[in-house]
Amino acid sequence: MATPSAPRGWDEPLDNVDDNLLDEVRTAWSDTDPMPAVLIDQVRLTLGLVDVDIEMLALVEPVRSAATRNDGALRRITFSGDDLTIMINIDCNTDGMWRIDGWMAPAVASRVELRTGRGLRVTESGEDGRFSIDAIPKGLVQLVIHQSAGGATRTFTTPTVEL
Amino acid sequence: MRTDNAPRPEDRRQTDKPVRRERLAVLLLAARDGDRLALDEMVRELTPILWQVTRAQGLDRDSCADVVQTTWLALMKALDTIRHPEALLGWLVTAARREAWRVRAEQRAEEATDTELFSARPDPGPPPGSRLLEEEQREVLWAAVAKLSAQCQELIRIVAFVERPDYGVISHALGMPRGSIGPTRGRCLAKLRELLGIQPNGGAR
Repeated sequence: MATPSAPRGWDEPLDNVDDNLLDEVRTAWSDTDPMPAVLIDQVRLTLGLVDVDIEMLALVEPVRSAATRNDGALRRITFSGDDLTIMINIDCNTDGMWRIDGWMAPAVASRVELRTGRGLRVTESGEDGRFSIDAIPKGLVQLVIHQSAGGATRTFTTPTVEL
Repeated sequence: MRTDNAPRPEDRRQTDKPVRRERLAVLLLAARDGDRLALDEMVRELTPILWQVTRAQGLDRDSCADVVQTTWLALMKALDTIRHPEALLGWLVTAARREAWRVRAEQRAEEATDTELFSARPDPGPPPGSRLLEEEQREVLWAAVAKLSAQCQELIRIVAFVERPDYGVISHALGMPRGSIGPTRGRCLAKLRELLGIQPNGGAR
């Protein structure tokens, strides 16, 4: 219940005017009191993250293959960057858990990690560049690929995907 | 120039992007499993908000930078103990705020007054005759914000840097009652609109 001193409109839902007003507040603070440009890197240095270097692959295509049933249970997604392309098939099992079958080109044996809502899943891709991960809970996932060549490791990530 | 990954106005409503809370939960779980890249993403995304949280406590810039780093180190130690990964944002905001208070007390700072939050503001600048309309509007905004309670000033400052789904988490982490902001406007924002002469049902601004 509103007390007599509550300003009018306090119980109305947020609207576009509120969004714009808060954006003005944000801009005012950013201009007046900006975060030091080096702060993020200072934190990364403190946490030992400075040698972390990753390439985010771009989503190229969600494609519905002719074999897909109308409920869209099977999805195929392609991600691509300068040096790596990944194609994955996403499928839902009868028990409600999901499965990802993927293959990479060029085919390099890699460590494949899947970030999920229940932690990290880790597997290896074969020399043919193929990998599979099963029993994935529904929700957001993200692939992280580590490739080693000549003593150096390159790391690639995909955008998050919703299962 | 934006260097703080801040949301655009239309992003606040988050109609089709994955909610940040869920994304952060995925990153936290990965970081817990040793994924340093996930930790790196968390740092990049959340450090700007922690800057706002610490500065809103009236602490000087250098000390705030220290507090932000200390907060991340504290997270590393507590990583396995966070019961609900979706509570990451609230955990970090609370931790940063408390650490800022602790440092401030250590420095034996003077009692925080409303004006301390504006201690970072630069000198008034060019004389009124040459001011741009934007700057005048900015001054009007500052004048209105300055009339809010200290608690409201803190809330408004920090929620300005997050999106709607996170408003409740922020107000809770700041110790404000449920419903202080999100999904309703709440008293602080309603008061600010009133001070700026904006009608409750949409403004002529």
